Amino acid sequence: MKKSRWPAVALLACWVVTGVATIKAQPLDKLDPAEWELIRRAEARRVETIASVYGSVVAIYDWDRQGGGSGVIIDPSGIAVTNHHVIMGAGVRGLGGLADGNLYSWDLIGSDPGGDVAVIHLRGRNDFPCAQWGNSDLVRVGDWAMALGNPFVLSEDHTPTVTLGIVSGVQRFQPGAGQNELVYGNCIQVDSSINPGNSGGPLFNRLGQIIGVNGRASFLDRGRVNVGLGYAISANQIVNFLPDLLATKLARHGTLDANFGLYGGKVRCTTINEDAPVARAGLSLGDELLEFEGIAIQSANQYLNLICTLPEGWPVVLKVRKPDGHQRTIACRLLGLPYQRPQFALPEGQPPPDQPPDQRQQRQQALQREMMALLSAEQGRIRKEDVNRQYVEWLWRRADAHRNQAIDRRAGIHYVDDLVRDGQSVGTAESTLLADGRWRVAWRLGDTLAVYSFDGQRCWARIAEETRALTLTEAKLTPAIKATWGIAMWNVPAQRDLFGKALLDGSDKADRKPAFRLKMIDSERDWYYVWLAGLNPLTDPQRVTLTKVSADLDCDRAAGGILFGDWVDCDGWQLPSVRRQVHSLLEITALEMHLRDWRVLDEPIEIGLDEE
Amino acid sequence: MSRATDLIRWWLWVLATFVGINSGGTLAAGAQPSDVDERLPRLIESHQPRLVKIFGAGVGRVEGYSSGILISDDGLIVTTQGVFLDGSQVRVVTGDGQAHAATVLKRDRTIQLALLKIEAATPDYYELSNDVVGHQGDWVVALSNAFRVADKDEPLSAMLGVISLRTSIDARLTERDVAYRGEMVLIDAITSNPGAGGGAVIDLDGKLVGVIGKIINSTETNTRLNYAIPTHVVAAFVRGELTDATPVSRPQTKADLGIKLFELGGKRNPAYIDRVEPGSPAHEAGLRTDDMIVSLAGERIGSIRDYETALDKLVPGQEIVVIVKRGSELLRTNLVPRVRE
Repeated sequence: MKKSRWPAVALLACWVVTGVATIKAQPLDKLDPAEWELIRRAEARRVETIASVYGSVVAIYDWDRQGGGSGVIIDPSGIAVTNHHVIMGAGVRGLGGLADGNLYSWDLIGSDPGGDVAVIHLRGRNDFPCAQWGNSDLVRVGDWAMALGNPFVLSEDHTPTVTLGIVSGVQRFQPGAGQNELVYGNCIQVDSSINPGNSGGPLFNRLGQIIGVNGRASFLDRGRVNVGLGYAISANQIVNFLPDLLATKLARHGTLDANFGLYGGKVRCTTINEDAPVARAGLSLGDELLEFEGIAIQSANQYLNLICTLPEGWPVVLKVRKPDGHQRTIACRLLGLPYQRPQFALPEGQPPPDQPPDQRQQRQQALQREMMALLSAEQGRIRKEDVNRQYVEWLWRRADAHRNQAIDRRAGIHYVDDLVRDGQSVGTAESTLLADGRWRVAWRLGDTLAVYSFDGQRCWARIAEETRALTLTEAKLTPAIKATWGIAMWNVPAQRDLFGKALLDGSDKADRKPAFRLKMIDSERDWYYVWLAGLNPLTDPQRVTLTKVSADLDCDRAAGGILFGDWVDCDGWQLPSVRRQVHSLLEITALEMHLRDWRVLDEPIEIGLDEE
Repeated sequence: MSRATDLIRWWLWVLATFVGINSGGTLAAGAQPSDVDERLPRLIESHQPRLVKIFGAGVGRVEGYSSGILISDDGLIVTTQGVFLDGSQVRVVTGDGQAHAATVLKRDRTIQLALLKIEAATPDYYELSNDVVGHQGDWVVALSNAFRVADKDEPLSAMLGVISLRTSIDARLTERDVAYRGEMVLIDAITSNPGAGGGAVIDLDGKLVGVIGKIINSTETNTRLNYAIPTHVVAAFVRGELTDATPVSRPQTKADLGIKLFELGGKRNPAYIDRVEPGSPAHEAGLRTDDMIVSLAGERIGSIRDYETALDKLVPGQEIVVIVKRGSELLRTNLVPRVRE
């Protein structure tokens, strides 16, 4: 399925009938200089905004520089997003042209056939020009919208085409093709010209932030040219899927395995699979849906529109009203919506007897086979662990980039937290963290004192005069250790692989915000999870911060999980102002740790279990 | 203030949205947009309650939906005329998502508008002005339900454009393309889409410039006109003052001259007259057997096919010029085509 070059003639023809408006000369002397200045500045600002994002737009070709789609770079390392249907045409590897006139090779990392989003990685530089995400929930009808891309593969030198229009509609729904494929839920409708070749290109707001990725338009009976209705996948949906895509998954969309419909004037659950997680969490047939993910639900369509933007495994929160009138809050993780795997006969690469295939044909066949392998890969699974681990390192690099590296952090830091339960102070925790990653925490809760330490090899505990070494599993299930280990991991890079090398596990939420979930499998074949938030317009589009640590996915075990909030800089060390021990998917707080005091140590101290 | 200054001030605020109030660089994500930004979104939002979605019968490839504007507080609606009004039921969905059964009060095949009525109080509506609203170069916003992107309470689509020209459409197109012959407002927003007819074109003060007209498609170039029927014409239609405005001839009626051509065959196949029917328009105009038709109503005729194409575009009763070659002479004559049977 290759995209052909579209004749620009078709587009030109559209304008013939509308004729040429005569431009009447108007006297322009009635504006005062200040107003003129404002106009000039506005014009200049628009030109500047376009210039600032121009370099981030990719003209996407296949490996033989055929076909054409668009994309946008979102990270200096060359990570770019485009449409799934673009890479379906271009393949798993190809060429990307930038406005600097150069062609770069790219590899496909992950794809989401359901939402028509794919992530590719351009190679060859570590300082690619890139654009920033904007919050697409703030987009309103009437806002300016600039589409950049390569419509009709017009550009010979890869420079993008800019089309300016307004947002015509928000929260639009465009049904998909096949089984759960290419569905545009909660998308942005624009009157900016979107033509074949614009696919995968960015939609910017007036500030030059990416608010969406252009992917389709209404065409109907006039051939595939713009008729003023284009649709962009919302930026917030894309960043929800980004962790899954960077994890090298063939991503799946989420479902509750329950349907809602209008019944007696209310949005009610009309069908439900009794084995579905949401049923086990408490949803029953006939329950009225009041809120989904904190948004009041007025229609079944609105619910459908919202769930379209969420990946498999996403923790959702529903507020429902039971037939007896009681309201209930329900949390569960979404199941995956399967889509049809392609039914292709793989070209076997058998050359016709009298004509051996040339190099190009061989290459194409190899690429096609890779594409088939990708599309028939098990959905929702990490496809390439080595590639996946590169993105774990990339995340930590992004995290460290915002630390003030210039400050010599000296030997270590000593800090004190108040332990608070239900607003009452119930104890204190005194901690020491050394630059080599060793630490000690004296945890006084009520009358009980427990001292934990890490000597660089293993964890120790002294509780009620008894001192012993802890197994990894015991350590991971101790709240005080988890709460300290998050800080150690954040400040001392060497600590990060301590419990096993991390994999990017995929998209998730932590502290009710989108996050990257890392999974560590330790030597005891047990798991440990770390959540990093950021690179998302809803959290921080620039930074990455450690948000949550837990031994289990949903914080169901007695030890719960630890949330890290409001990291503050303490002379080069970073400490969270608040940590919270939380339980269940709803993250219900059991205990809070409030940072009270800290001091940087000049000399390393002995890390022992004795009381100071 | 002069019109020119007015025009510039519009430019000013439209452009100014690119600067923002705090023009100190890029805003952080989540920052509150400036007041200047609010104007266009607010305008569009405030007009949504004055518009309706209309659903009726679809026939074949002709869509069964359309847009409409409310013009009174008791549910009078103007929309485009079309087959979707022929069904047994016409459903109107107001901005709040409520569906109402509508009665078709009046439809006009010439101006291609229809007047509907729903039994509902509609406090938000357009007052139809008798003045000309909007000038060439003014910004306009077109609101419609093109492609049926909205179904229930979802807002209609908004497009931004300028008035390209205020003109009238007589001469260019033939009856088959469009029945409407009157004033129109050409705009550069692409409104000529299924379901957009009956939508509103407003200026940036929120005044109604016109109503998006039915799709006008040129059969020759397969191109379309983006236009609105001006508000004062819509007002005249509603008041019932348009009955004698234009000659009504049925668009589907074809013309006939009363001649039969000589099928020579071959590559060129020129249009020689084989027989002229006595008493026919051609006979009265003095055309004879063996005359070769070279021009019909201004169209060059090189073959029988050209002739047939040109003939199909003629309107019965409208005088045309025919040029024939007789021997070595070119003869020019006027004739009035009759209705083809």
